[in-house]
Amino acid sequence: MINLDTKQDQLAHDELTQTVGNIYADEAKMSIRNADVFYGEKQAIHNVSLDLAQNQVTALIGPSGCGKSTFLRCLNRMNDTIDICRVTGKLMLDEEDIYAKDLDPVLLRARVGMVFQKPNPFPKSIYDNVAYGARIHGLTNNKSELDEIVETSLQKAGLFNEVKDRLKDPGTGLSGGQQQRLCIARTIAVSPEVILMDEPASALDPIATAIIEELIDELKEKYTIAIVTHSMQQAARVSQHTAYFHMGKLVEMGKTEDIFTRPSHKLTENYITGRFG
Amino acid sequence: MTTHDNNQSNSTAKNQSTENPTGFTTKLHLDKHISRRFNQELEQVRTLVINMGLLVEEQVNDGLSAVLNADEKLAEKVIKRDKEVNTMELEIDEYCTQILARRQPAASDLRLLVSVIKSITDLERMGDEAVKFGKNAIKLAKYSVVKDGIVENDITETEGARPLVELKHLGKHVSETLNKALTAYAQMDVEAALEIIRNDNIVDEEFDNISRLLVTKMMENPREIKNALRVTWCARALERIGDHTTNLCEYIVYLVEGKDVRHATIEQIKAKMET
Amino acid sequence: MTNAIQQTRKNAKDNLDMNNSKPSKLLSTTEIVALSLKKRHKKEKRFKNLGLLAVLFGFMLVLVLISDITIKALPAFGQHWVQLDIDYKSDWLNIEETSPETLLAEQLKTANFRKVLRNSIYQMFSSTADKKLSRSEKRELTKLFSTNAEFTIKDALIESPVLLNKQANIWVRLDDDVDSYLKEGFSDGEAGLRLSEQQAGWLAKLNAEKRLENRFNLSFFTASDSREPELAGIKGALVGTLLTMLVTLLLSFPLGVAGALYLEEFAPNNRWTDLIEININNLAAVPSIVFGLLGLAVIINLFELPRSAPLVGGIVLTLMTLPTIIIASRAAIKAVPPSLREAALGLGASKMQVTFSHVLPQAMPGIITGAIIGIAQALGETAPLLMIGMVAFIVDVPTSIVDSATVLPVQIFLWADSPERAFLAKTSAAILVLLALLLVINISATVLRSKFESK
Repeated sequence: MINLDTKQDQLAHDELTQTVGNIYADEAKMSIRNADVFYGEKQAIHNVSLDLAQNQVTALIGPSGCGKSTFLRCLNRMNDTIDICRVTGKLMLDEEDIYAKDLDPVLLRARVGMVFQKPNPFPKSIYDNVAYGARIHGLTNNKSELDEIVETSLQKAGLFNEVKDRLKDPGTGLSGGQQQRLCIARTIAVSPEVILMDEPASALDPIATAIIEELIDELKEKYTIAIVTHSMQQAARVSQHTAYFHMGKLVEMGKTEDIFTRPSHKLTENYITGRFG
Repeated sequence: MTTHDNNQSNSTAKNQSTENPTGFTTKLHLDKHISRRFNQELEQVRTLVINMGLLVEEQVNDGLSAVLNADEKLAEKVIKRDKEVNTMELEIDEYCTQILARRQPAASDLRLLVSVIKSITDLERMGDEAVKFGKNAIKLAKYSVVKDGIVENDITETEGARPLVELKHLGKHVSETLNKALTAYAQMDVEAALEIIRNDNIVDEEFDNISRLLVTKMMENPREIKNALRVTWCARALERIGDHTTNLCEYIVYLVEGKDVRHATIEQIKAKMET
Repeated sequence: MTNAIQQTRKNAKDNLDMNNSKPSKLLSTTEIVALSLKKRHKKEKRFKNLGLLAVLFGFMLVLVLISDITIKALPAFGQHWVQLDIDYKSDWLNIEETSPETLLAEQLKTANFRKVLRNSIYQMFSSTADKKLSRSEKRELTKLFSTNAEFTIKDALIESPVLLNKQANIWVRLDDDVDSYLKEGFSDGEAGLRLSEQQAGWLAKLNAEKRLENRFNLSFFTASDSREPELAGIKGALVGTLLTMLVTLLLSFPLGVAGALYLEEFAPNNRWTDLIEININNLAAVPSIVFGLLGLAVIINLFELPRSAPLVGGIVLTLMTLPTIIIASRAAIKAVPPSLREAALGLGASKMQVTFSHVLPQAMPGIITGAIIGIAQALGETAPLLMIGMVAFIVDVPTSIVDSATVLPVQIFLWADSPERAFLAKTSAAILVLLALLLVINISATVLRSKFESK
């Protein structure tokens, strides 16, 4: 544990945690510059800048409490629900500032969807679960269009064949892995552009996890995906770019194969190889 | 935590910061995993490889000595001991596979295991080359008396001794290089490894020299062909050992820096190391 | 090993030594656990039995209560009728025989049926005796029959006017004293508490002639309040209760749920909200009569709404029930897991959509439970309604929420006050009806709740 009493130590610590690697992408779907997040007095995210490359999967890894989930939730303004949370900096989706005063978070969340750690289907039927988003945003005019959206979304999520005979059954009656795929289907039914995933497979068994990972691989053809994960192997399997967070700072970012074979920063190396936690 | 501990870690941090101002990986730490067993396993792998290296080095030196002194006994010993080398290769291979399966290592740990798996192949081949020394030494001993690289009862002129002298020279160079490489491996010294890679051509040049010499000899005196050929083979074996040593050094660079410098020219290597 | 574990082992070992005087050895964890296991099981069993006992005790109490009330109420469901020979003499009726039909109908309405009844009765009973009945005897005889007997025979004649100047057998009600006498099972001819021997004798005679019948007391349900116990019914009170409940439900449920939603979902976290919360929680503990005073002072005097109306009663009861509903609804809304809200928000639902499409349906079972508790509480409230005047003697069945009315609990209270013994049974019967109403409300709430939960 580094003692941060003297200024010199603080400087040394700061230097130790300068961002290393390549944070910019050629085609960035979302770009974040100098983001700070405060919970009341406490600062959770320090000056983070990175790009989410279009149609690619970016993994956010780091030890517990390093701020990766907080950061993820800034991207679709879910942190707005927390009163004491304050976000500064420039966060942009396709060159638009998502924290602009005249931007409705509801609109943003229709473009940036989210899948949560614990599967949380609505206590409604499977059909209604998937159709909900389309309904509230008024994406369809008639029932047949809605049926089509529901079927397509379930197909893309790899769930359709398993539930096509029981679309009226409650969503909560499915297994954990199926529920999570239902949540993914629900998210993509709204045709978002970006999908944020907060540890989507951490509550699932290995087979369900593998299915979800396969799904993520297919989904990136159409969507830009950012995934927070505790499992480094998962990050290595699933993503093309990886960002390592440490105590609220972005320490290193780069291509996944580089990060996992030859990381540049010592902190990244330590974390990936299992040193010091 | 007592103040004393604070001060200690304080000074360590200071040292760290002056050595590595940006925290880049210039020195590998193979220890300090949270899992002590994992630390031990990696240490064990390294130890095994170094032991194998030492054995192979001994084999090469013994083989060379057997050739230069036409020592039949030594030659037999070398040939027998190759079994040990092979066993070690199998053992280390299996051990690495186990670690890969159980630990899914990443970054430097992964590079270590990958480089180890490759290194033992080269070491084993070096062992085989040493066996060639042994075999040739036996044949040489049957037909001549050689002492210190000088064929004593050569029915031709003492000129015939010259290739063996060259061989001795080359052998010394290769043996030293191998020693340096193994030391560099133990100490993870990239500079030393790069040095060896750069000087790879020396061995090749020396080998060409010997070849030319022996061809001349063979042309001059057809009765020398048998011996000359044997010397050629030994020289070739030395050249191969030199190549394998270079390979070992390339692996060292890969292990420490994460850069793959195989099959690259010196300019390319220089460029890679600078990025 | 900690010191505690070591000490336990030592204690256990000492115990074992004392009991067995065997060579001492340190006990393993399993052995120590096994020793204490028996005690733990015993404790569990004791607790289980205690709980069962408590439940049984409560159940017994309820059973005793219900049986007591039912037994007391049973007599109210029956009523004795007597068959009389009524002589529709036109001169008793004081009408002209030869009048045309329409005029006859008019005359019948104002004819003197009392005379007809009395004379018919005297005729019936004096025919057996040789002497004429004395004045006091006549009075006694008349007292045997209900005061509305004359109206019964009037209705009979109007229904079939051909009976004019003929004799007919008409069933009329007996007076409540006679009814009670008969229900209490006195033997024939024995004098009752309010029945003289002579009256008992006449009754015995009627009984012998098979002129007495115990019929189901439908008028209990179809008639409204009356001074005469045999005529009194709960219809008025029942309708009044239903109207009041309707007003209460329509006012308190939306207000309560909306209030709870606002406080939980939309209210900012500042001191004003805290103040509101404290006030609501305190309101739930205010004695109900205070609300009655409020109703009197503000709603009746200030707003000049009609006194004793279900509307006013409903408003007062709403004020009473509101805190209960708000508190229960808030608890139900709080219990909705935040993951549900997040899921909806993440899809791009606005706050209103999240609240009404997800939070509210999920919280509905809890809200309904709270509402039922509140309504059931209001159902049995008497004190505040007394204050706003629903204690009056209302004979008409209320037809709208601004008519004067009374409610079942008040009716029970009034009947319980009355001296007539027949009212005792009627009070118990009314209590049964009130309980039945509560049961119906509870069952419907359970059905509603299960419908929401199954979704």
